[in-house]
Parts: sequence; structure tokens; C-alpha cells
Amino acid sequence: MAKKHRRFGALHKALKDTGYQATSGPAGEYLKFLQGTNKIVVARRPDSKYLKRFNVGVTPFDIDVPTGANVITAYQGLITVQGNNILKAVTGITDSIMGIERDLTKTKEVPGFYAALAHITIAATGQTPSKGNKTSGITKRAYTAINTRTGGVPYGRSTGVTDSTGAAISDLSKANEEDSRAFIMNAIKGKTFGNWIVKGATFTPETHPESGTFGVTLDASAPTDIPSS
Amino acid sequence: MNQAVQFERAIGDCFHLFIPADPETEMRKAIRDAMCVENAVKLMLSGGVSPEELLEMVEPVVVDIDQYIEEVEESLEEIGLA
Repeated sequence: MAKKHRRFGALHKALKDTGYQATSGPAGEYLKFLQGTNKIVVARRPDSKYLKRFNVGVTPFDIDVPTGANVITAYQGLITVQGNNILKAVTGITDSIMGIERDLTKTKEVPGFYAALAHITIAATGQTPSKGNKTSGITKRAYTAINTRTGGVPYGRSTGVTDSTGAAISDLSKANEEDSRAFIMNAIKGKTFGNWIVKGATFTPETHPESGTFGVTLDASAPTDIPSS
Repeated sequence: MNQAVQFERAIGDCFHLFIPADPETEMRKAIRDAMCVENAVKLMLSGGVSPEELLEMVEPVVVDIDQYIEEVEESLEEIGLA
């Protein structure tokens, strides 16, 4: 197994070895953090107007998609203004690809449901950070990083994406999360716009009300057969 | 938003894999690896495995486990939990 010494585990040990009396170095700075002297400052926090959230709808992956005329499949999720602006600015991704429904009359609120999010990270082009241009708020150690912006964009089942063979998704019940993620990532891969470049993304899976709870019983209408291969 | 859910999702995000948007990235594999890590993180957050066991579980799909640990720590630091 690879080395798995945790940096802060090592710091704890270093601090303990000094009898919790360290005054300098990473252990000393860590003690100051524990004592509240060293604080983490979130730099470049976006203005609150970019953090304002509003609702959009997505059809969750982890549900049996209802069918029928005028049936509502989309659950309401949240998107920030910054996430929405990134969605609009990055060429290649659209509401259709993300499975976003903006007409809230075609969505329903399901308490406890939180939509899956694609956190798309962009960076201004031409950044050449000097070595050690940033400082840890805890250990005061220097590290190197470029400035980025990230926006969380909800995504759900979509017929605007293709499956692993490149075939169109015929209806929402056939859509799956891996196909959506792959389509989104391939759509933003290598993209630039204005003076920005897309760096990549992380994903947060959706959360359902029953997650982590007990007492959820089997729905009487649940199928009893095994789907054919 | 429910604060407990928000907290759990924020911690989970610190462990999730970043998928580079480089043209060279093999997306399907990167996404499957990321989903594997997400499942392991979900298990850890539910108390099913310890953080050490999580690292054992994700090691096969993480290119550089030491760099992964550093990135997790940086992310936890950003949300004030390191």
C-alpha cells in the first residue's frame, strides 16, 4: 500500500511531541489554528449576488420515471447565479443536455430531494502562478495554485445526451447518470470562451429523502419480475 | 436546505475526484473511477467504513493516493474542517 501518513495526523503527533508547546514551524502554526489565532480566510469569495439560488427542475436518476400525459417527472433543485452563468457561458452544454426544466409549473417540490450537481471549474487563461503563491490558513505553508471559479449546475435524466455507443436516448426511463456525466464532460472538454478555459468538473450525486432513514417499505406496485437481459 | 444534508454533501465533495477537461482524458474511465470513489465516500459517511478503509477502497482507482490525500485535505481546509 502507498504511504498514507495523513499530514494533519503527522502534525498532531509533532504537536504532541512538543507537549503542545510548539511556537513555530508547521506544528506551532497548527497549534495557533487550534487556539483560534490562525484563521482560514476564504479569498475571492464571490459577491452575494452570484451566490443567490433559484429553482430549476431535473428528473432524478434514482426514481422509476412515471409515464403518461402531462405527468410531471422533474423535481425541483437549486442552482446559483454563478452556476447558471457558467452553464450559459460554456459552449457545448445546454439546459437540454443537463436535463434542466426551467418552467416550474412542470416541476414538483419533493422535500429532502437534492439534485445531482456538476461543479464545473473554469480559470482565466494566461495565469502563471509563482511557486508558493498561496499560503495555508492552518499551517502557513506555501503552496502553488491558480485562481479558479466553480459553478454547481444541477443535472438529471436527459434525452439530449447519447449512450456509451453514441446512440440517442429514446426516453427518460432509458437515461442513466454515467451517460449524462460522460456527455457533459466530453461537451466541456478543451473548451475555451472569452478569456476563460474549462479546467474540469467534480460531481455530487443526488440525495433522496429516504437516504439514511429506516422504515421505508416496499411499494405495493413494485414489479416482482426480473428484467430480461 | 437541510443543514445535515448540506454538511454531508459538502464533506463528500471534498473526497470526490476532479475530472480534468483535458482532451486526453478518457472520460468513461474517469467517470467510473469517480463514481467508485463516491460510493466509497457514501459508505464512509454512513459509518460503514473508516477513513483508512476508504483509502484502501479508492486506491485502485486513484492515480496517486498521496496527491489525493493532499487534495482532500486542501478541500477540507477550504470548508474549515481540516
